[in-house]
Amino acid sequence: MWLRHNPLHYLLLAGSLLSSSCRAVFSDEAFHTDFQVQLFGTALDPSSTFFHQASAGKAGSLLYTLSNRLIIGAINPKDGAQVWRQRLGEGTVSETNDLSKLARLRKSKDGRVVSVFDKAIALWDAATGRAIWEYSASITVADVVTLEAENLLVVALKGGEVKAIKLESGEIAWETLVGEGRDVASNFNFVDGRLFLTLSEPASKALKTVVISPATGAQLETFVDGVFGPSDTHVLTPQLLPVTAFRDSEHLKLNTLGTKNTKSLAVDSKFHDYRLHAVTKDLLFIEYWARSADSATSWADFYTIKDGVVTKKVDLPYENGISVFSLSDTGSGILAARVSRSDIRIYGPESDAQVMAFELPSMLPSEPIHAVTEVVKRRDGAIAVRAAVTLEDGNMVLIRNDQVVWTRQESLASAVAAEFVDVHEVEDALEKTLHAEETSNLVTAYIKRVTRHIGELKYLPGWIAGFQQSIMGIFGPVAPIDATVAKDPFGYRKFVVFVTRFGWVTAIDTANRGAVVWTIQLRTAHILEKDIKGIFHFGKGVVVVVLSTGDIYKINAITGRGIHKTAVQILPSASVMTIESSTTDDRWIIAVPVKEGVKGWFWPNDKEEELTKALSKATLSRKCEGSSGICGYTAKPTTDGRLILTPTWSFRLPPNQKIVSISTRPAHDPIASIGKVLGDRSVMYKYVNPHLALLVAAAPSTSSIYLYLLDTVSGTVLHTSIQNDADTTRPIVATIAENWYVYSYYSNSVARGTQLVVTDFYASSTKNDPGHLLQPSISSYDQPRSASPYGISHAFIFPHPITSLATTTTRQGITTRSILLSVPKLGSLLSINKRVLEPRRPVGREPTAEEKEEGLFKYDPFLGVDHGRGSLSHIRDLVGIDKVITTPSLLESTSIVVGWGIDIFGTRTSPSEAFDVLGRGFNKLALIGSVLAVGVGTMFLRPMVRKKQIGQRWAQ
Amino acid sequence: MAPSQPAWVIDLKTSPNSRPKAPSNVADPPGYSAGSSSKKSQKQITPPTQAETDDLKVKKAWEVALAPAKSLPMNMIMMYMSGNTLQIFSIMMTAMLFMNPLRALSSVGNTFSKFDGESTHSRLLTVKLAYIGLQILTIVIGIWKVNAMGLLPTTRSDWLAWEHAPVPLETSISNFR
Repeated sequence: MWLRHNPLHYLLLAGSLLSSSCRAVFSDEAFHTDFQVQLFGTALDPSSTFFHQASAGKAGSLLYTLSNRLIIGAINPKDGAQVWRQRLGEGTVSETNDLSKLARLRKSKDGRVVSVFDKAIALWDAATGRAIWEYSASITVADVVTLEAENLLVVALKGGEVKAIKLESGEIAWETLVGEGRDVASNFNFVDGRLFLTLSEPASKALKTVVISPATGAQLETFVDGVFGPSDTHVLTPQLLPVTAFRDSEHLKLNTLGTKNTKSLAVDSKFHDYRLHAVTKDLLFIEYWARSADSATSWADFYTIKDGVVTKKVDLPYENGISVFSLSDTGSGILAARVSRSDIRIYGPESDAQVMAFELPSMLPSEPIHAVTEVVKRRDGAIAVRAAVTLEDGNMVLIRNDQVVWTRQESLASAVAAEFVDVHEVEDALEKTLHAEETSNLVTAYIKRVTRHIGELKYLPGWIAGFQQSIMGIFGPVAPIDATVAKDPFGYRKFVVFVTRFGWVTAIDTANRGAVVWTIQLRTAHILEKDIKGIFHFGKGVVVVVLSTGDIYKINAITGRGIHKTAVQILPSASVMTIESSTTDDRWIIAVPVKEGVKGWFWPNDKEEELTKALSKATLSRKCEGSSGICGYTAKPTTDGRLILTPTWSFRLPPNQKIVSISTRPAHDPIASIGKVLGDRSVMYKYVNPHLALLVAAAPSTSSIYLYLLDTVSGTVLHTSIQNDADTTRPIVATIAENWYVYSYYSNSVARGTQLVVTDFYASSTKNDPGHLLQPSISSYDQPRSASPYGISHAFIFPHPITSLATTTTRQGITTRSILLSVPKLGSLLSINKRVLEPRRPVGREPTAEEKEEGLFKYDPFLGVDHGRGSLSHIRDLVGIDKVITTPSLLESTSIVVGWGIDIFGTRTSPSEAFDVLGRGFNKLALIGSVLAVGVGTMFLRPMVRKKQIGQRWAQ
Repeated sequence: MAPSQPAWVIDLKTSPNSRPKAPSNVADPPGYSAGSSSKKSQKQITPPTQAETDDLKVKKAWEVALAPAKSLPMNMIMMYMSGNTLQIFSIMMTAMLFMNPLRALSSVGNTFSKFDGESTHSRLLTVKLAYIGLQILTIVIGIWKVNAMGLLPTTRSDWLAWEHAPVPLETSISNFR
């Protein structure tokens, strides 16, 4: 049989062979092309952040923290490096939960820390972060206390159950039920060998204290201490104090345990908040603050507790500015530190005069929220302070005396939106300049070129440095040069702009190991994910952030300067999108409200004619009211920035189905070839439609998931598929690109487990049939039934749950795609080549020679994890990567990938191998060496040969 | 037999490269046996007729014309043996398969010029046609070979690179957050 050969096939075959035999990351590229920003998240509560000895008897302590993303861990206070971290609750953080009531981290005995989250208690080795034991309670844990002498951890559950767990083994030592399950437990106090549990009795509105024997768990005494009104709530009280604190809207009430003695301090909760600190049982320190921007205040009071009586001793000065207090006792006396944006001041408990003040050389980037400090008074009276300060922007800094030692960008763990910005797009206006040179006359063109060349001289030092580096790099590894100076010829340098929950916008540089380039505050204190209407790349290095309040921030993404801030009146439920003029560089932000008959908005509200032109052929689509489906509109601008919206189509789900996700093809998704070449050199034409949207809906009542492929211009349903026996409570994720989509769900069918399903769409089921594909132009409205796509699917079983799916994108779309899977169980970002997820793979038989030539191989339903070849994150341990974004580089082979969530992981990937770039493994030394050797050889041989030739002529 | 002609006519008509006659007034060298050679010379002397010469020429021309046919089977076997992979040898051999016939075709006139004459001209036409036909046959083998190597754009996939997706008339903008 004669095989037909085509050079293209060889290329593809070689590519497929390479990609199947090569690794996703070469070992010499690991840690060079990728970066990871290891994050904890912002410290949740000052009581859950502390300096603590890592192991008993060892000098030097680590900084332990519990974050708003439920990560616990230890930080080396010297350099801010992560020592260890663990995740609580498997990432079940919902933004609205008041986490500081559910989660806490406490010191325990012998270099251990204990963590509590909701119903789970765990004891961790403080030095290594290994779990010693874990205990899961039946209901939410109210408080825990470590009893050092008894070697017990006592746990109070909300319902009044008290359990003592042996620190060594995790076994229950004793348990008791307080208050017959009617009372609500709040907190423990451990004073003078007596364990007090404070409860509130909802029926009789009484505050109750029960004394429990630490050794046996016997309930020794019960006191009814006072009235716990319906508006009262418990206040977190240090466990070593003999008082318990609760509050109503106007008072802070301090009840001395076991007595009816309650001291009431008047505090207006509307404006002021407070926090209780203590390091010994006879000194109570209360800090007060008000954070509102126009009337920020702070002060603090020392109280002594003697014989159950709380008396004010010293009040530290009231200031009109934000500062936070921390109490510390390192054996050299109790000292309070007051940390403000510009200084740290130390106060003693004896007087309101400051003992010491450390002026910071520059202001902190934002106001502090809380701080933990260690203040040491040396024998000679000198005072040294170390403060771990959590800032309003979500970051943590460590200040030693008057120096900021390190900053951890913990706010990035609370990012709610991210967008790529091309740096080269801004710098390289080359294409345009060249075009201008072409069109203008000879003289001006020449002048233009010369001026351009002079302008480019600024890159010369960087280029020389880079050249030197690359020469030196031949002989061994060198330190990377400053990425900001050198030009980026391959387009690897992208900024990722994040909007964080704290109302800040931060950009990181992918070419500089994820270093923060700039950060800027939006004039909004706190942002939830739903508050962000969108972050849009507005071209030319400008990003626009739109909030649900209608605030629009236009930011220069290269310098981080705010360009423009404006507010338009947008309904909070409106969908915001961006539209680009096809003829000019203009772009607009469009807001489409959810309510029918309400006008939309556009911004900037000028150049209406251009916008009219841009909108004339456009269909806007968004989720319908109540998320019941997708609605499409056409829009026409009117005066003063309003849009008249006309509903054109809607696709509504049946009432038992809920939208899980809607995905569209990526903004940059070129299709290089409209057909797929088969082994016999015939063509299967792809279904090419730029308006595809994949709606995934779940019906929990019937445990099914539904996939609808829609055309967002006409609203036509192009393809539907149903999966029964699906677990709708587990993550269902999908990604769509080119002419295919991939989704993953958990199946309860016979093939139980996570399934990864791929569907490819072709224009026709027959070969060489382009359908309507070869017309010069196509309209979505002019699609007969016969033009509906032909879909083929394969399903694969994947061993681990997948929380996020994404697709690589390259500049021209020639390179095969890779599907990126975020697998939290493995802590990895995996990449699977689309050639593996190929629905044309033959089932149940070996591929024929033609199929082999096409690159198909036998279908195997089990898709194992190939750690060597498939893992982009190689040996890194990624935590909480639940969103993955990709962007093309200037090299066709390479796509830039950034995953975010808690950690930030960035890398470059070449799904079809780096065919257009020399790898790091390329031996430049050998190349240059052989060129030199040939040169030297020629130099030596030339006279010899000449002499021989002359000799020959004489001999003739 | 044609009527006898004057000696000068015969001298004129005999081919100039025929051996000049030995002068008769010079005696044969001793030992030279004239008898055996005289018979031959007798025959040689009778010049071939025009028709005979023409026949001979045409016969020779046929031999030249049919020479490529002899190499055809060899070419085919060689092409078959060299395989369809794109290697330097198979490419060179295939190139030769085109080069040689083309070169031959461009010099058909030259090749047959020595057989060409007034009388043979018309008869040579078929010979030339056969020659051209055989050369074309060789080229056909070359084409078949090139096709086997997959270098001919005979399938749909060969034109795929020039096919582009239609330009969509509408645009769609969406945000499903």
